[in-house]
Amino acid sequence: MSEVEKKEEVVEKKEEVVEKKEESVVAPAETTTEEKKEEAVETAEDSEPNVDFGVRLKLEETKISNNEEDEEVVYDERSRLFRFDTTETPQWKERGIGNVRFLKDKKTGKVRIVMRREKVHKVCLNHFVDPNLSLEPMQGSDRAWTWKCPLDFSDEEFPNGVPELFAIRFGSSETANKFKSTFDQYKAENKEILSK
Amino acid sequence: MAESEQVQVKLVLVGDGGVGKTTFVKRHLNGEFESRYIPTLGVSVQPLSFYTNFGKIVFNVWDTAGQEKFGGLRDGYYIQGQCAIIMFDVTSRMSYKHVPNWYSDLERVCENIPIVLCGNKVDIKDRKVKPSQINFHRRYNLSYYDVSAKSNYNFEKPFIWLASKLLGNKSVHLVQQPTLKPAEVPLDAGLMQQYETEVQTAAAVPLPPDDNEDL
Repeated sequence: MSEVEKKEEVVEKKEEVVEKKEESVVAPAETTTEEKKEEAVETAEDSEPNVDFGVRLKLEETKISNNEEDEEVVYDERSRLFRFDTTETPQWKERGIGNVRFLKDKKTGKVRIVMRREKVHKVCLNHFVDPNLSLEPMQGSDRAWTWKCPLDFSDEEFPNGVPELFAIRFGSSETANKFKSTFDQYKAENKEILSK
Repeated sequence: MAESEQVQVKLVLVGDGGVGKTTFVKRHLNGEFESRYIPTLGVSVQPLSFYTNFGKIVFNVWDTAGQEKFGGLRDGYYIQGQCAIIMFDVTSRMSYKHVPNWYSDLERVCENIPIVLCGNKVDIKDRKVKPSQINFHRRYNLSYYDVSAKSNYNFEKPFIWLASKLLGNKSVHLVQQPTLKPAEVPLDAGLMQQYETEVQTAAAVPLPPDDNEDL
């Protein structure tokens, strides 16, 4: 999806919210059937009153680069990422839900792996697909992998990278296997490029 | 983007103890979902940054102790608050009943700031505070969202609304955070072997369950 299309999508969503806002001012309609009553209990509409606080933050609209313009998305799959936390009892902690992607540099052909958290678009995984990395299966799961990443570059506060131990889980073993074969393929391609 | 272009905003987060304030903040901070209840003592300030079509905005979230017995809230927590979130738990009627108290406490110090009311834990089937019973926000021009720190339902919306109000009713949306350029120095094969035991240990620890998300 191009940047322009994404923007349009966002704009459409905004419009939906505005419509909802208008609806929510009206008192909820009388429900007649049991079914409708049950439905109404589910979730509340967003309510966004049209109130004005003046300008308390003076900022101009601006364009922020995602720093992916020179790359091509060569793989894209929804997944859940975890990091192994050993500060207390060793345990897996969730790191993000979103789409994991392999990005190939249009000039050099080098491939990195990048994942952003859904809705907030913040980076939770970002490293070069190094030829010496290796995905290992998670015990008791046929749709999850783990790997040691000596330097991950997700956190902008740590531009020199942070060591992490990751696990990633997919919706099915098929998608998990596809991820592994894609990972291995780009490891090989990067190895080839590095050896030149 | 230069550091100087960052905008910092003080956001006060209040609500009864156990409604999920700290879990909500942690979810935004690093993606974690903490299901254990560890009451916050006093206040914990966390910077939550968002990339928007108006640049990077950092909400310094003052995550306060909901439990009076841990000291109650001093005015210092509220002073110079530029916006606020009042949170309750849709599975606890009592936490909704206390919303007016939190509101008047806030308004006493921070007059006329944008405030969002959030009903958290909407992922839980046994909802006690029904949508039709949630009306406090209408009287005082608060916005309202059902949210879930667990499923991420609406979890970004309070911040988008607050940003748009602080900017003067501008249309705000979130954009992609810029990625850093990762190092491409080849890893040492010997070094990677040293990590082998670590990886095997971790691989034996089960991942948290996937509930109904299938991931």
